[in-house]
Formats: sequence, structure tokens, C-alpha cells
Amino acid sequence: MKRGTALLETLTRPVVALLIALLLGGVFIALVQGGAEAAFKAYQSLFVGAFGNANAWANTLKQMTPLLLTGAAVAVALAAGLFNIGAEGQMSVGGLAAAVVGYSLKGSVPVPLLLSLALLTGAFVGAVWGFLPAYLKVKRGAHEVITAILLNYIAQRTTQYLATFPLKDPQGQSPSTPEVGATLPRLLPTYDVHAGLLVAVLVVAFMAFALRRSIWGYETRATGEGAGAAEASGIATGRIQIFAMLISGALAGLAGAVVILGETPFRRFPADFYGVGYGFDGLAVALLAGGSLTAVFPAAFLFGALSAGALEMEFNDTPKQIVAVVQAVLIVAIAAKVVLRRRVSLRKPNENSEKANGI
Amino acid sequence: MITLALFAAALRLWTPLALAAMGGVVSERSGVVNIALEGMMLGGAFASVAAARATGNALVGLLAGVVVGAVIGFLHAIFTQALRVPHILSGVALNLGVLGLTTFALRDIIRRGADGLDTKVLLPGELMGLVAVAAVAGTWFVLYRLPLGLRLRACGENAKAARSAGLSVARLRYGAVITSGALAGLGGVALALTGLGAFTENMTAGRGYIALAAVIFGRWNPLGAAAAALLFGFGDALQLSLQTAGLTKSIPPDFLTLLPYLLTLIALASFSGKGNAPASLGVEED
Repeated sequence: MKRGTALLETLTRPVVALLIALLLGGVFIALVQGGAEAAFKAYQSLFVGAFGNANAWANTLKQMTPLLLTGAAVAVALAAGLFNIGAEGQMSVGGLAAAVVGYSLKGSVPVPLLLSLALLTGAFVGAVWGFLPAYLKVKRGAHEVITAILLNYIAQRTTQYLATFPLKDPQGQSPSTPEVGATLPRLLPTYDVHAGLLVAVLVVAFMAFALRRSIWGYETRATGEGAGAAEASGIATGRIQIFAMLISGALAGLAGAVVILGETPFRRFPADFYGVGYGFDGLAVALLAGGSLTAVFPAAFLFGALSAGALEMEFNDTPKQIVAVVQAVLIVAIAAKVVLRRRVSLRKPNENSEKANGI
Repeated sequence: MITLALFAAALRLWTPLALAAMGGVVSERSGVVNIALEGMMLGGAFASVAAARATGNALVGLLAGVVVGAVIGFLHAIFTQALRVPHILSGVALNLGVLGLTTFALRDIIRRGADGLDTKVLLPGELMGLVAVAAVAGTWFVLYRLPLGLRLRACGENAKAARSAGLSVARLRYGAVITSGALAGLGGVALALTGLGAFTENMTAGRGYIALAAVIFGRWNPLGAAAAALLFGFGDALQLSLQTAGLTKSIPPDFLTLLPYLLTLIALASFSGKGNAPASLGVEED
């Protein structure tokens, strides 16, 4: 009985938050584009684009693939009490690294080895990019959100430069790297779902298990719930936080690699890759999942559907940026404490107040 | 390389940063973390161009930018104080929402056949520079010379004690964050209405975050933050003058444009620490 109500409570919040977010998004569409009809039409094409036919389902799963990884990336950092807003940057450096490995080894190694090396390199470079804000936080006291945002801009400009000049495909028309030697195979012929989905599901399931069952996972969660108490019980919280950001960066970097090696328009790293958006969407996915890695699966699916639908919506004259507004409302609606507080007022007040250690 | 023109460019680039940084100081000294500066600037920039274009009056544009910034500040106050959303999350959501909404509106305008969002009426850069200087002096004066400033700082240092002393912490914070939004919105106005007079997608491009870094770098003191903003303004000006000096043949522009971000990162890495942060900053109470 008690477990039942608890489950209901954890489900109610995201569902209510999503409804509020969609409603407000509709209001904005109606305000800008003139009338409720425009909002209705926009949401209709959103739904058709996400679930309307087999192709739409394939698009939803394709969009879900990197979101699983970036959502998990943000959730792992969140578990250790860090907010990784740098996933987009980590993803773009990871994607570039994978592209470089993918085209330099073209024809010289067997395909499975090439793909594995490209994926691993992407994860490694992403981890390096994720290490920087964690190190600066633990050792220098600089807030990880600000440093990660700055590192995002630096990643954007650096990858843009590298893909435009030294790494540019000399034969290419637009600035991008040469094409990689092999791509992740499609799961179904003629549909855009690729093997990256399997990679993402396996990696995230493993991380979910490790976070819940391993000593590392325990220490990470203890650090996230209260660094002071964790420190007092002998956990090296600084090291735990740095490691969590390494994992987080690796997952984001892997997402970049999976997108470059798997998604159909890519196969080469374009100069304007940064801003493709999966990294930023990962924030909303992780928050919707309440920081739980298991819940990242349904959350990533939902956001995959939203982005697949957004493309169709844009095709029908509603700019897809409205999805960002829906996400923003969603973040506030999920993080707001006031509604829940009233409903559980009979219980003891929650003592472990979060501290957003001073910026 | 250090010429009068460079100095003038640095001052021009300083203006929006300094205005937003003053917004950051006011909000954070009252105890509310404000990374929403970015969205406040962006919203202010959008509103100022849209209003100036619609009315043909730059002062109306200025007013619209300030009001929209203040409204975003009001939202940040509601989210953090009434709904108890963690300050950083509220900021992330507001920045995301404002970016989405302004881009959405801009693309919708372009879809209807306009070239973009621009205006012929502009504000003189010198005027906005003077406004920024006045904002710095005013923030300093209010914070350190008026009873209001003492109360505000008390909220940031020890909210519980301030409350037991009979202060209305919530009301003071609402006021501070709304003021913060108005100042950052004014920063957006300075960015949009003194230069080309056009709004482009994500035109603030992280200036709000850089302004917040200036607040931290300047130890939450208005004068310190203004000085730090000047440093970042110089970094930006240097980068621009290197670009126009034709050095782009040896140094690619992408590298030059990352200079201000890199400079900010290095400054944060060298001078962070919680030393002078208001003690109650971002602390959530029950």
C-alpha cells in the first residue's frame, strides 16, 4: 500500500509537470502564431512526427539514442551532487574525436575494430572535457556550472576551427571532416534506427546497475545526498565527484561518437556540430528522470518523441524552438517543491535541505 | 596595439557586461544565485529591438528592455522564493526558455517574410556608457551607504538572523531580483540598441555568464565587479581589433572569439573559492 502510493507520487509529478509544460507551450504558440488553432495544429503534427507511422517511430528511437547517453551523463553527475551543463561541449569534442579516428583508420583495420576504437576515443575525449570543471570545482572552488558553460563555448569554437581548417576534407564542399571508414549498422533496413541504440541501452543499463549496487555507486550517491555527511563517514568526496564527472563526460562523448557514426546525415563531423542539442536536452531528460538512471529510459524516450515530432512541426511552419520552452517549463515544474510539500504535510519536514554551494 | 580606439572599444563592450554584473551583484548580495542574467539580457535585447522597431522610438525600446528584464527577474524570484526551485535550475530553465522563445519568435517573423528583426532608431553608445557608470556608482551607494543596502546584505549573509531582526527577507529578495533583471535587461538594451540595431539568434552568446564571472571575480563588490568586467571588455576588444587588423590570416577568427571565454575561465580558476561569497547565497531553508 505504502509502496503503491510512493510509486504513484513519483509518477504524478513528472506527468503533471509535462501536462503543464505542454499547455504553456501551446499558449505561447497561440500567442505568437495567432490563435488556438495554430497551437492545435502544431501539436497534431508533433504527435504525427513522433508516432504517426513506422517511420515516425524509427525517428523517435533514433532521437532517443543519444538522449539516453546524455541523459545518463547528466544523471550520473547529479547523483554525485554536480550539475553537468557541459554535456553539449563534451559531446562535440567526443564526436570530433570519433570522426578523426573513423576517417584516419579507414581501410587499415577491420570494421568492428574501427567502430570500437572510434567509440572509445569519443568517450575518452569527452571524459577529459568533463574532468576540467570537476577539477576546478574540487581543487579551486570554481562553480562547475559557470566553468562548464565557458568550456562549452571553448569546445564550440575549437571544434569549429578544427573542422574548418586543419581537419577539413579537402574535397568537401561545406566545412567538415572527411567521411568515416565505417558506420554503425542499421537495425532495420530502410529505417534510421542504428546499432547505437543497442550500445546506449547496454551502457546505460550497466551504469544504472553500478550506481545502485556497487560500492562506487553507494559512495557516489552518499556524496550527492550530502557531501558533509559523506566526508564524515570517510568517503573522499572530492575524488568521487571528479570520477563522476569523468564518467559523465565519457557518456556525453560517447553520445557524440554514436551520433557521428550512426545518424544518417552525419558520418563526418561538420563545423557547426556543436548545438545539435542532444547535450542540452540531456539536462531536461535527467531532471525529468529525477536523477535516476533507470528512469532515464522513459524520459529519453519521451524527449526522443518530442524532438522527432518537433521536426515534423517545423515542417508545418511552427519553429521547433518551442520545444525548448516546453523543456524550460518542465524543469521548473519538476523542481518546484511547493505542491508536493502540501500533499505530504503530515510527514516530518524534509531536513536534508539542498545547498547550491555559493556561486 | 593599445590605442585609443582599443580603449574606446573596450568601454563599449564593457557597458552591457557592467550593467548585467550590477544586476548580478544586487541579486547575489541578497542571497539569490543568478545565472539567469543571460536570459534577462537576451530577453531585454529582443524586447528593445522589437519595441523600437514598432514605435520608432529608441527610448520606448529601452523601457521595453528594462521591463522584460524585470519580468524575467520576477519569475526568477517566484521560482526560487515561492516555489523553492534550486536557484541554478531556475536560472537554467529561464535561460533555456528565453532562448527558445526569442528564437521561436524571430524565426516566425522571418517565416512571414521579414529579413529579420532590426531597427533604424538607435541609442548613442556614450549615453549607455554613462548609464552603466551611474549604475555602478548607484549600486555601490545603495549597498554600502543606505539602510536598504545593509538590510539586503543581511539577507545574503544570514537570512535567519535577518528574519529574526524583523526584516522581510522574501520581500527584499523579490525587490533585489526584479532590480537585477531590470539592470541585466538594460545590459541587453545596451548590446542591441547601440550597435547594429538588430536582434540575432542568441545574440548575448554567454555575456550573462561572463558578467556573473565578473561578479565572482570582483568578490561580489560593485566596484570590483565593474573592474573585472572592464578586464573582460578588454579581452573582447583585443580579440576584435586583432580580427580587423588582418591577423586572421595567421590566427583563425574562431580562436580569437574564444579568447574572452578562455580569459574568464582562467580568471575563475585562479580567483574562485568561497572566501567572500555571501554566506546565505543559494542556501535553501525550510
